[in-house]
Amino acid sequence: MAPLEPQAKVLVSRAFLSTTHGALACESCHGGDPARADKVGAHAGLDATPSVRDPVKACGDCHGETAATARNSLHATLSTFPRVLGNRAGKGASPHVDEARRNHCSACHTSCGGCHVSRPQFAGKGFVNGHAFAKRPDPIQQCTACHGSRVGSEFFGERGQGDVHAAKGMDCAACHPAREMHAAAPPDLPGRYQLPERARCTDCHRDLEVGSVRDHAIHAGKVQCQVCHSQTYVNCTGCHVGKDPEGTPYFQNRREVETLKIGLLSGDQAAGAGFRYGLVRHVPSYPEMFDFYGKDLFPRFGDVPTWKRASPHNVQRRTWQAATCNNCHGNRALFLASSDTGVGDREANRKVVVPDGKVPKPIAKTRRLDIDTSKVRSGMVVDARWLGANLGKANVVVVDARPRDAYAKGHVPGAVSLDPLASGLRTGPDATKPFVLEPHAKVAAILGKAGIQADDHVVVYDQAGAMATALAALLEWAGATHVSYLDGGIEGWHDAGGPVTVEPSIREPREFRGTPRPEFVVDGATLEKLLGRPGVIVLDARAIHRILGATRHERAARAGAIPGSISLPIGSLLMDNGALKPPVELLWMLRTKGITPDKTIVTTCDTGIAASDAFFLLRWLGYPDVRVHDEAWVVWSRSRTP
Amino acid sequence: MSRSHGRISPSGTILAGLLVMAANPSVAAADGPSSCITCHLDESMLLRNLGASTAKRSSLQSGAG
Repeated sequence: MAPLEPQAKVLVSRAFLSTTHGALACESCHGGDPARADKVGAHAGLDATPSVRDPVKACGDCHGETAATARNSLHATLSTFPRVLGNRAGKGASPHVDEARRNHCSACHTSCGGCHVSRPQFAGKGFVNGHAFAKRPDPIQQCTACHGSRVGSEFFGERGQGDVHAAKGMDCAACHPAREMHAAAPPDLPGRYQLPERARCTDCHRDLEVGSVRDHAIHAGKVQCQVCHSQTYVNCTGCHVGKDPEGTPYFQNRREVETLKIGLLSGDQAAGAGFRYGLVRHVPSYPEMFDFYGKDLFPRFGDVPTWKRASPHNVQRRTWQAATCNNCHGNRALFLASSDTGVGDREANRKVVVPDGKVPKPIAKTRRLDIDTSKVRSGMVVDARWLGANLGKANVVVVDARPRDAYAKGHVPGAVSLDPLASGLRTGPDATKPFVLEPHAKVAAILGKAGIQADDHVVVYDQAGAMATALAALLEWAGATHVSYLDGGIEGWHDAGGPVTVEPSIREPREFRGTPRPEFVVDGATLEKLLGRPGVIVLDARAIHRILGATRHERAARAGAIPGSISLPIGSLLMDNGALKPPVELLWMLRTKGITPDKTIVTTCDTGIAASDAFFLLRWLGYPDVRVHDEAWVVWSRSRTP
Repeated sequence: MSRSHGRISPSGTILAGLLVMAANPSVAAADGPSSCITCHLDESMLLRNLGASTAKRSSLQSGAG
């Protein structure tokens, strides 16, 4: 979410003046001097965020009961942070621990105003709707403005398929109502899962033990709902804290890894849970986390697990690990093992690790999935080992699709840089038709100038997969005959011990000589004719908030989606670091959505990039008839209704 | 809590506001009395009177939760 411009942050709407809050004098909440017309004088004594300082004084006259409890809510106090850090620091904790917590961890707290009128402080502040107060917080501009990189991305399908509740149009408050959000947290609350008012799946999904779903009856009381109903989610490996050259505190996630792990819950983590097996996520803690402030600040680090109970917000009714019993039973890789912990946190997670004897045994007779993987075009994906063995061969051209500055910091030796967004391969944002493929002759000239010929074996990689697979799709359209995507991208290359260099690689310009494949691309007029035809699926690869119309691309004329399209965010095909799930899993997932190889699949998105990603990956999976709607929503929204 | 809104403040306040506005054209409202609302309803005036973003956020900062 882009930050608001300074004037937009404080621009009041006329509509606000007609609301209950708009009838109050500004200075009664904010102070300042309304008699002064100069900026400095008018703002003397101003409190821009009065509910941060004292929610009871700011809001309590009318919302007395709510303000009284909300001031002690987890959003306001983050009270579990000092407890966890204190446990790790032990008795006689250094004051540096608290200093670091205040500088970094406390950046995430919010207040009445941060949920009901403005973006929260961490999200850069600014009115959501011209200072109008809203009873329900805005999921995009408020809730996931803070709960963004994990909850927001997972809920809205910027990673994975998104959450079924989001797809149904449910907002955050649908599951997390005021009763929970305004609840006062007891001072000794071990963690947010022990808040009595917390949201539970069973608030809505009741009496599962006696319902018609056999697996609910079998697993209730033993297994957390999300074990069967979540998709993979990210884990943070560590939070690096420090201050930048201007002295402003910051924290950085060192690395995010997408996995799904089941752990054994005990102690605080199990209290009130009602199950032993639950999903666990690695939290961004490590023993040296606060070393910027002092050494050895956490002598009791091993007392608190770093793999902690998690409730990923990416629920689906059907998931791969629950597709058949033995996708979970007997699948050691799904359960947290000692090898998943590092040296620094092995002791901390001793009780969370699932010993071999506690991994449920395979079921003798179980459902067969019958997924046909024989059509997978395996040559369209290579791994780091393959690349290591073939690097430098005469006909292998490695292309780095990351932005130029990332390439300059280190790339696969011999790789040429070709950023698909900055190389002139597509039209610019101000074109009559923005972001579409340039004419073939121009594209071929750019590819040739980069030293690529149509009959080379071109291997593309990037950081997260989206740019590399889009470039791979473009190369196929342009006539390249052998294009492969590097599974796992640059991170996978690093993990495999592959070397990197900062020396730029320049290949001798050549003539590309590709025969274009126009059948791979459809324009808006063609798509319009295909809509509603039997056997044609329009696959929309955008995040769910786009499909719902909650947001729009800045160049789109309006929010919305092509009628009849099926939502499948591109994150369901590409993992966070550009790694690919096994074809059998992806083919099963696509089948659950009705996206099967016997159909014509037209992929679409906002600008043609995610659609191109889906095109390439579906072709890799063996789909015979896939086409990219390259004009995509930005062009469609300008010329068509709906 | 006062119910006398800044934009409908007592006449003395309006007069004082007008006098200050006249003395300080850089913040003068296009119409109506000066008060919090006069300025905060006027995007172009805000644009003129606000500099670049003052948010103290490090460029090294990651996203949260």
